[in-house]
Amino acid sequence: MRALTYDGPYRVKVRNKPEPRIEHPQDGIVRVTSAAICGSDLHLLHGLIPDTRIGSTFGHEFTGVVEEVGPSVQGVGRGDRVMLPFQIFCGGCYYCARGLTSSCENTNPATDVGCGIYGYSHTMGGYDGGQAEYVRVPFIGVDAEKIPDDVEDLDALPLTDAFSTGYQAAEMCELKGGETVLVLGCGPVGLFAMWSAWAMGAGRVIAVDHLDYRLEFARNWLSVETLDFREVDIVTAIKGMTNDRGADAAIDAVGCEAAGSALHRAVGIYMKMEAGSPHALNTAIHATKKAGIISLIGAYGPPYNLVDIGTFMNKQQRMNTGQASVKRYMPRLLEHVRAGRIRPRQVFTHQLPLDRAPEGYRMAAQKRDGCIKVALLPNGTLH
Amino acid sequence: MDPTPQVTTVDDIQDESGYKAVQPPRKPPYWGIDKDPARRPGVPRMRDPQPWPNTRYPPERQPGEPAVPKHGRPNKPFPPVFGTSCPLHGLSGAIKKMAYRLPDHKPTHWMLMLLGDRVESWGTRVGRAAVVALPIAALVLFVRMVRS
Repeated sequence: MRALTYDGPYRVKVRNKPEPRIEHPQDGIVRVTSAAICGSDLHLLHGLIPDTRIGSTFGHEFTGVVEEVGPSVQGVGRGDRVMLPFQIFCGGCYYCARGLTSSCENTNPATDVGCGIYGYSHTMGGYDGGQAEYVRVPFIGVDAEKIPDDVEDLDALPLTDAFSTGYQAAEMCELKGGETVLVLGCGPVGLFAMWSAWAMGAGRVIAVDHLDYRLEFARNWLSVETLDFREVDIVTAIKGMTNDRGADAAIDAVGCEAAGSALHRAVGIYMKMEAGSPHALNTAIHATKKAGIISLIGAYGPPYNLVDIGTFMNKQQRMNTGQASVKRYMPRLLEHVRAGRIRPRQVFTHQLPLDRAPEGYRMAAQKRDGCIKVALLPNGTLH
Repeated sequence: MDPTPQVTTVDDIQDESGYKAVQPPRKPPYWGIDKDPARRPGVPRMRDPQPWPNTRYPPERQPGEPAVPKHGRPNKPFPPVFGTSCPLHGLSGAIKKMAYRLPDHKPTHWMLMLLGDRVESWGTRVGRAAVVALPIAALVLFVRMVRS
């Protein structure tokens, strides 16, 4: 089969690989119909996630059709259209049973930090991802969510990560209604976090980025206020806009490749002396009011970052964090999609066949051609 | 003296900065649809224990060899399901095996892992270059020998 393969930092290629097979009685094999390139795939591409092995296949956001299931699988069968949460979870361990599927204890030997994730390095379990024609799906009966007939693949695809993650980011702001929410980053997760903040009753949503086309997209699609950090000091501006106090809550939807600080980029991204640049997180701490909430959803690699923890402590802030436990959000987000409250496919500015995936990665990494998000179509067909 | 701090207005910011709201922000039609926390699927964060539908627990042990060793925290059980993509090999594999002997809360674990990544990356580059460079070098050597 054709599959995207990692070739070392900054290089990916589409090659032939052996097709996946059932390796566990609860496995399934899915023929991938759509797979997205996520912002966090770029952290892998840039060599920021430890134990990303050459030859592995990326892709943790995908939809597909079930081709084969193992003998112990219940609930899904051959021919079902499904979307898969980006994490692999067993459904019954301590954390899964309590709803925190992203902390499953049964799918990742490499670390206690998180569960197995498709195509996200061997630190996250060593599973191949969905930017391929076929993919192995452990616990398919538990993890897969069937896609209703009236929902198109590209509307379902962001629910597997970006939309669920954005929704959880807003949920972690603990909004009661009327708050000012600062969203750092106008990528797909940031955009979905803005949508979700409105849905949860935010009084004001302020978006920050440095790419004009992304700021314009946020304004046009979500009617939010926008600030360009190249042109204005964000902390000063936010305090100025909020009675000198700061936002009630801030969402870091950027993660470890934040622009805006030459120091952190040099130390973290180029010299690898810290795990990427924590500039967005530090901005969130300074731009949020005292006793406010920081919602950290951007991805950071191990082992540590130069985070302004003293300011965080002195300002009596709280931080809510965590990979989204996607499966719990899918039914509610499907309701929003089916009710026409959002068309998630609008973030896909580009759709490419799998063989052009390297071009998609370059476009996404260099933010060229107005790229918000790229969808790959490994089998050339969509529902 | 007026103790009230001077507050920057939106107009001030608009005039002097990158504030780019071209229209006053409008609340969209779906505003507040999930304002009630009871409608939010992740509230409360940890719910009362309840297995997911179609769960068979505990899962059977997956046969075969994992591609990922268990990290070095004593007493950590090996999980029943694991990935099998791209097993460790060569010098980078030896370095990463050494890293995996340490628990993941030790920074050395991650530093060794990053070192292993760089060794793998450069090893692959050198290996691929050698496929082209060695035959050319051999050819040049052969031509020189024939001429001399």
